[in-house]
Amino acid sequence: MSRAVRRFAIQAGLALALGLLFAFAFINARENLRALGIPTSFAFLHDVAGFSINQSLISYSPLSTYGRALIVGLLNTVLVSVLSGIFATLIGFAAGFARLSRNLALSRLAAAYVGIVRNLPLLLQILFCYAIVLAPLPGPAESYHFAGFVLNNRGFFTPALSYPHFWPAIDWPLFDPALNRFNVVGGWRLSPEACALILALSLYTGAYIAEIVRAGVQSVARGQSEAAAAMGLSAAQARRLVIRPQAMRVILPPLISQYLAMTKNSSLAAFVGFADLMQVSGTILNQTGAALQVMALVMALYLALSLATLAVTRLYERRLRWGGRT
Amino acid sequence: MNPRRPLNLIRFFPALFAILLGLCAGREAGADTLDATRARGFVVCGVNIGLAGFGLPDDRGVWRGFDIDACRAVAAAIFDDPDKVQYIPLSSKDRFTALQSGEVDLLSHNTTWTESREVGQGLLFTAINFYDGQGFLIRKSLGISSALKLGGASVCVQQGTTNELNLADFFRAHGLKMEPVVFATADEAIRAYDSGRCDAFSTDASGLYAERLKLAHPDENVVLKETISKEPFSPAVRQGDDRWFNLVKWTQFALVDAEELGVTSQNVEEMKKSPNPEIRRLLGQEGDYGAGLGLTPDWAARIIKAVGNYGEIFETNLGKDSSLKIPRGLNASWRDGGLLYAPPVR
Repeated sequence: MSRAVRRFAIQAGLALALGLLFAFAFINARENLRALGIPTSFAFLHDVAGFSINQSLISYSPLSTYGRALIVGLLNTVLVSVLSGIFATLIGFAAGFARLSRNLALSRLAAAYVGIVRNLPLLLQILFCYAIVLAPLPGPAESYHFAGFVLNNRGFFTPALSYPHFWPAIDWPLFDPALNRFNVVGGWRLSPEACALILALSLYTGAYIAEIVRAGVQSVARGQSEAAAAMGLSAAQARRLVIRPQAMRVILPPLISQYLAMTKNSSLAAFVGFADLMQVSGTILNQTGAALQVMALVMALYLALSLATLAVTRLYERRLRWGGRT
Repeated sequence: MNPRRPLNLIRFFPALFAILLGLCAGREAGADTLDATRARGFVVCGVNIGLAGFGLPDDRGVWRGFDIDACRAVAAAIFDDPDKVQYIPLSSKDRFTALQSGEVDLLSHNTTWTESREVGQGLLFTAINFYDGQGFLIRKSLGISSALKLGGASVCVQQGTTNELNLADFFRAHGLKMEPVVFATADEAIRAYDSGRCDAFSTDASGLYAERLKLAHPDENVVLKETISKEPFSPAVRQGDDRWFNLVKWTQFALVDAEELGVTSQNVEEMKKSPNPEIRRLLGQEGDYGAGLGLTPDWAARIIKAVGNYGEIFETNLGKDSSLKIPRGLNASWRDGGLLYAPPVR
């Protein structure tokens, strides 16, 4: 028997053994679940959920299905991730450049921010943000009003478009004890839970992005800016035409991993009562008992989110690759 | 290939990992929980991560509470030592998965007995040991006396409980709006309520009394009298092990029977000499009612001696001898107008 054939046989044998083991694990798990009377199908997704969700981007009521509840959770995760991503990028680039600044106070401040935030557990920061978001806000009766916006400890309310008589009309948020003595009626709301989560995730991820930006800019050899100056480019031109394109190529890959990590970190939302994918799926799991299906579904959804993030950022990465080495 | 090169173990890691995975996924068919518990030397009990009166470590780290005593009673029946228990604190959300997967032998976790939990999740509830109902905690300043006046309110509630669903049901049934704010743990939920985020906090009435103690100003808050649901608490075990199911169930019945017959942790030794045949059977002086459970004839006597009868357990943890001062109410013996009624040991 030749060496190639023997090696192939060994590989094939291993692959087969692995496949058999996985098949055994799958069948074994399914049989055991059946024996315990635990549901093994996805049929529960069409059942009525029965529970309420306080923040939703699509219409949802307790009479909606578990499947729809899951979509509400998914969209909430996307909402928080996108908003946090934008703020984290702004904070991160600002802090990254501040660290490189010749202004000592500014660079020390940025270094302190990065040092503190990166070295504290995220969950602690989220709980802290929730406490500091809630503490200064007044109850609905003493809300802050500003140009139709309302802010109180039930959330941040913005005017929203509605279509009461086909024509679009503005739905103003309003606190009127005659309508509802507890809460603001109308408008679109961002809950304090969402605000706290976005704040914490932006600050946390921003600190990592700041380090990535600093490292990226510093990775461009000093000779590059000296050469640019020698060619007669102004400092601003050198930054825009020479430093930035080269730095961005270094910054982008770790930046993308930060976005991915942030999306996954948003699953800590349940601790501050925000109805994200993880929180909603937890409730569904508990009510249906379909632990394996719900977990598999949630894993698939997070994976899909990450892959979508990757696809979008890869487009940008490819644009940066014009010319030069890759 | 160099024949003297040592075997590269790293190549086999994926295979080893897969084998481990396959083994973990396997649950021994017809596993006998009592035998496994005996071999291990202690009972593994899934309990609440912290609810005053039901299960909470004291200042020396010793678990105390009503649900804890249910675990201790089982340990006393098996090992003649109520301390042979390992407590696994579980969130409401994770508790059933922990029981299903065999991480705990029994769940003693102020858990409401419902149809779907029993039929749909592979569990068996043993016997109701506490009759509760869901209620509301509100600030006195609201000036409300009925939950029906809470239309439009924000309500803080814990995730993974029957409370979440009851709440939605109650407001839906009365055509009222409500904003639920759902937290992973009761601690976060009560803290958010205390900070003014919610107008009301909702959980089982027994829990409301316990959680109220955590507020900055407990006296400024009041528990509404009405309850909106039935919450019968019961320990739970896995389906498919009838002997273990019976053992846990009859441990609870023995506690109730002992109270009815006047047997306490103090007088259990004297009571063994009682002429009353019911007492003599319960305490193993006549007949052998332990063998079928896999226990010795004096199993019930050992339980009562170690943890007391139902009334003693209730008063120490929840009732007049505790900080909660929950009245017996529905949890009194049927002879005193309550619902507690256990089949006889005979």
